[in-house]
Amino acid sequence: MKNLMAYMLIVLFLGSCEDVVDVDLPEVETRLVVDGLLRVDKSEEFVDVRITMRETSVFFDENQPTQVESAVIVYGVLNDNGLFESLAFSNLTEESPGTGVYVPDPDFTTDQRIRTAAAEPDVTFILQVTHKGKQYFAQTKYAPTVPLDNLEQGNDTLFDEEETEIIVTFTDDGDNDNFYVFDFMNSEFQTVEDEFFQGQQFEFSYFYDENLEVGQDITVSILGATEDFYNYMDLILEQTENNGGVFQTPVATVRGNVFDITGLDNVTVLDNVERPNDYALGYFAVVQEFSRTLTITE
Amino acid sequence: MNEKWSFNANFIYQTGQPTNYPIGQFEFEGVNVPYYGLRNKERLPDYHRLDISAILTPKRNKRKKIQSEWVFSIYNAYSRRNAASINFRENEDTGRNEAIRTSIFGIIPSVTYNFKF
Repeated sequence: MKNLMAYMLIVLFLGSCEDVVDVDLPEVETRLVVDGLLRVDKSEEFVDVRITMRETSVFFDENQPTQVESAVIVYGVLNDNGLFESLAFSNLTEESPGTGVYVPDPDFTTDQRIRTAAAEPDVTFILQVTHKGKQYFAQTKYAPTVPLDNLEQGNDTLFDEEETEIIVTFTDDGDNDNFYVFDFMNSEFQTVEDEFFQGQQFEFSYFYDENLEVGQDITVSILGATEDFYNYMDLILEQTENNGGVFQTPVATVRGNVFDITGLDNVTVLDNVERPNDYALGYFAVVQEFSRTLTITE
Repeated sequence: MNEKWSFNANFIYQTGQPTNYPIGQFEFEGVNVPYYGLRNKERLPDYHRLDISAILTPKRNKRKKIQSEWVFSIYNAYSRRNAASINFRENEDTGRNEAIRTSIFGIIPSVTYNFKF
């Protein structure tokens, strides 16, 4: 038994347990992916509307852009009956063919751009898309946010010396339950909610894994979020961050707020709960954004 | 074989356990997110291995009460890397997605000495 134990230990410590293999993944029909996070900068006159339409791909490939037949943003204030009191439209068209990026149509008879003044709390935005004969619908409320008070570089590290600490400070709005999504560039996000610092100034550190170069500029943005969008980003991060914990929840599909309403005749209740397998992926959100830039020093 | 040597072999074959592979991925704000179909639609690769052993029983010494034998065995003789699990991740260097097979116990030789008294 002693030998067996010795060999077992050798195998466990010297042999690698992991290797990269080829796996035949099932091929399924592609789905529409709406990458529709609209960031509203109130100091600009117009909202930078830029929605990317893609199709899902096999896990090992990249998503390809796709073209939609039509894409319209409708916005206004909803009354108690779920109807718009005043209504405005923004027709979208592909910015340049083949990119899948949709922007307000510049060739339309009237100005299709959305003024930032129109983005106010309680304004609801609806995105309607027709893609390959199917109708998609997404509804979201404008999510305001608070500015960043301060952004500075710290000297601490979390796990290893290579990290760079960034200290972010902002003051929460005390009147509402707020949700925030922080964008640290390069698809690095962090979700924060104000449950434990309602109305107070809050400071936290974010650690960049790779050693940032001295003199490099980094931009940190605070985005407002509805509770739904906060949950969505939180789930996306949970599903993609490589942690490999033992007590993790099983993986699952993260669905956004874009769903398939093809053939629904009831136009007042736009949900498709009867058909859980008809959905598009991605999210449509209209959020306020404040950014600060910092130059990395020694 | 004879009084001194005896051999034994054991072959195990199992079809792979049901599992859940991502059926695709989507991109949102530069984050690549896998998505999934129904549970347990896929199977891990088949599991099989061969174990062999040889038992050497030395001539019994009539005067001593101890009976003894040596067992030489090899677990997973052809060192098949049976998948305990398959994980999916993004390669940090290339940015491409890849599948990682975790396999424990390759070939394990062992020697055992048994005795009775």
